[in-house]
Amino acid sequence: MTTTGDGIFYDGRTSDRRKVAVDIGSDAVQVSAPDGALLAQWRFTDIAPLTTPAGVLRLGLANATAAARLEIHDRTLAGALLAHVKPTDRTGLTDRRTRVKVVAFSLAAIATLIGGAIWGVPLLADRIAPHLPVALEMRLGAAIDMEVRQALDSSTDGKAFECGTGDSSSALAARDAFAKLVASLEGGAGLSLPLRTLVVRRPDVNAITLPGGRIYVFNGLLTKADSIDEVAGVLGHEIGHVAHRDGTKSVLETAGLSLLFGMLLGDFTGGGAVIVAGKTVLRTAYSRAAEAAADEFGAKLMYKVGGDPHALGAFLLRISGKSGAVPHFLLDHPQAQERADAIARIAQPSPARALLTPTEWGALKRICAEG
Amino acid sequence: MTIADCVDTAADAAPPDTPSLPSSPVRLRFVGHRGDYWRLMIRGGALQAITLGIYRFWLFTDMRRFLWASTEVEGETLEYTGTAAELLIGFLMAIGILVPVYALLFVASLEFGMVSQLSAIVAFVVLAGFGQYAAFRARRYRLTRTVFRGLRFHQGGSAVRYAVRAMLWWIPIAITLGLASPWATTNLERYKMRNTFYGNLGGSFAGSGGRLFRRSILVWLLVVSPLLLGLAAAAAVIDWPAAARALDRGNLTSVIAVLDGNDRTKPAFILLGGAAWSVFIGFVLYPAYQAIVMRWWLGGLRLGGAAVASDLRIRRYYGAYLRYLLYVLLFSIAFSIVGGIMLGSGYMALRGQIDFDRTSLPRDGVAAGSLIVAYVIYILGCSTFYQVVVKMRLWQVAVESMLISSLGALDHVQATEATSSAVGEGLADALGTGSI
Repeated sequence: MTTTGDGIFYDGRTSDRRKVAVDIGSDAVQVSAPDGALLAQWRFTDIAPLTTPAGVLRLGLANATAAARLEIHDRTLAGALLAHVKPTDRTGLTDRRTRVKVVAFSLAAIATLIGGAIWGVPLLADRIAPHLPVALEMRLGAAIDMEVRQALDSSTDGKAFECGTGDSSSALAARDAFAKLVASLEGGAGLSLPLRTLVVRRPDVNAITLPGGRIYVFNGLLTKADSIDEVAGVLGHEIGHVAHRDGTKSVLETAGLSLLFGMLLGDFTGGGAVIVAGKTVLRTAYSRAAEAAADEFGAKLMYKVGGDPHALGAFLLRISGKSGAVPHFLLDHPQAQERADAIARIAQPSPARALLTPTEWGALKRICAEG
Repeated sequence: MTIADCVDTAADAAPPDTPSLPSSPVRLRFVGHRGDYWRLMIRGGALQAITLGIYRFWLFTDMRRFLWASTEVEGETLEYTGTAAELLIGFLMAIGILVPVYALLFVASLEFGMVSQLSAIVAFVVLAGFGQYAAFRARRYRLTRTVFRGLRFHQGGSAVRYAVRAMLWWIPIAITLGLASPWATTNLERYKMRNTFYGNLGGSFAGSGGRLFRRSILVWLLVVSPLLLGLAAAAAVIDWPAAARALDRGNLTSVIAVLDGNDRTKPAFILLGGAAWSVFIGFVLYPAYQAIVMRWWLGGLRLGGAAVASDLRIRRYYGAYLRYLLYVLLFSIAFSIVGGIMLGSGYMALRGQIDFDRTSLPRDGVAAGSLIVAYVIYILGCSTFYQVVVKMRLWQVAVESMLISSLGALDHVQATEATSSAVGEGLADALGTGSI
């Protein structure tokens, strides 16, 4: 077996290239200058083989700050030396093991992060949101409000986006009726911030809540509602969002999700689809939970102020029509039937006191009738 | 590539070149095998998909090891000593820095909410500044992990100063529609190279902005002139009084109506046409511009007395890109055929269990899942082609175009102590400003 031969040595202190004699001993390799002076003696256990193009064996010292290098171009000498050096990764086994470890570690990390996304993020948002100052939430609401108004105000006939702002007696009556309804619900809710409720000129059967206690009731909802309890039920649900600070929570949850999906995971070419899919599924899951909680709050509130808590469930069933076109895991609200059932379970038999007189209810329904 | 491969082929390798005389320039060689890189990239792409991107630190490390080890200067290859664990830790530390920054930017945008557009600009500038800072520090990391002849490179200078300098240059670049960019590039390269060291040997940059300007002005003119012509033509036919009235009303619809013009004058059409031509020409000339800048940049590199010259040909760049287009075309065809077969057989196999005519959770889950998987495979496939056929090829072409004169300056250089952390790399990765 060859134990001596030629090599090239860089001592790590200068860039000088030295032709050297290499001598493989029992536990170390000796590097000597042509004149016989010993330049280095490297123990086999300290030596690390390094990546080089085919045809060159390059060795360095593991854990050394200086980058001294020994290069051997003689195939047999290189083979003899490699037989002593540990770990000899002759078949790429160490490489493969490292890769398997990395993949296993990554999958564990992914499982942890997804678990964090499912349970940790909403839990953290729940805990943090109540401690954030109300003023911050009001500012957030003001910022979102501008954008929402721009997006929703589709009127081209010059009518104001907000209904019931006129000076006529009917506008005044409608405004008073709405204020009375809101006041009785707000009184029962015990909120930490004042509500700002408006009826807006939109044909959709919907109502939205922005951070900072802003609730927009769409005119389409008033048109479609058969009783004041149905409108009050929807308002109670929206007040539930305000009480639970769902706007702030949703901002926190979005931030948490962006950290998990986008910064920590999914950063590779083509990962965009994975990020979007992951975020969508999780966000709608958070949202479904928040909606169910708001339903519960609304039903209890309705009972407290003497409205009919079941009206919301019936109303939802009536307007839901042909839902089911969207798969359940992509729904941000639970299905109407599910919601009606849940409300029926929560709500006790109602004392059914009228929240508004029939005249007031009639005035409220016509709140958007004039400019 | 394993160590065993090296040993097995050692017999075929030529003995190392004897150092040439200082006067004769030395041409650099690219000694890597494309097949090895293909294997590395395909495996890396698959593992990235499985690990949702976490594998990228290991892949980037492998890529650099390969590219460094494939670059040979006078019989001696470069060596990359960085590790994936360093990159991973650097990335996690960068997340720790960036999350508070993002949170602060969010709160700031609420505080100054009235001018939300302005706060978006502020956020963009802050993050872009971070990006420049990160790019400089990432360069330091890569240099300190580059070993040649038993010595490390390193980089001095201040990343903050570099970031400020880079951002200030954006102002003249924006004002001159990019005409100032050769001088900006020169200035920044000077800063980088002045702070680059091989052992105790300092670097410098000899490229001149005027020279790059003269070489690239034709590309600039060809790209920008359709846009400017379109602007001028549109300005000539636009109904200015009507435009002023529309702006007064502040109504977007009427502004669009003015831009739409009448049947004879179509300002919007002319504008869009000019812009589209500019984009198209920019797309076609991009490889040429890249090659011009690369050749100029390589020709300006100095390390002590050693000077680089480059005879890079533009057609090599076009060759790489055209080959990439061809590969993507073939890949797309193959992907559609294989994908179609798998879709068909999957449908046949699942038809018994799932009613595909009615909306249901399993149906939509299966559909969405297969769509995402197909998308990831296709995009990752294209990106792998790009990495090998374009990125590696351009590296190879650049290396092979380099001639170093007075290489003797690199003899007898003394080592200096220098290390650096991978936080810059992590920041650059998180901000998307990283590079190989």
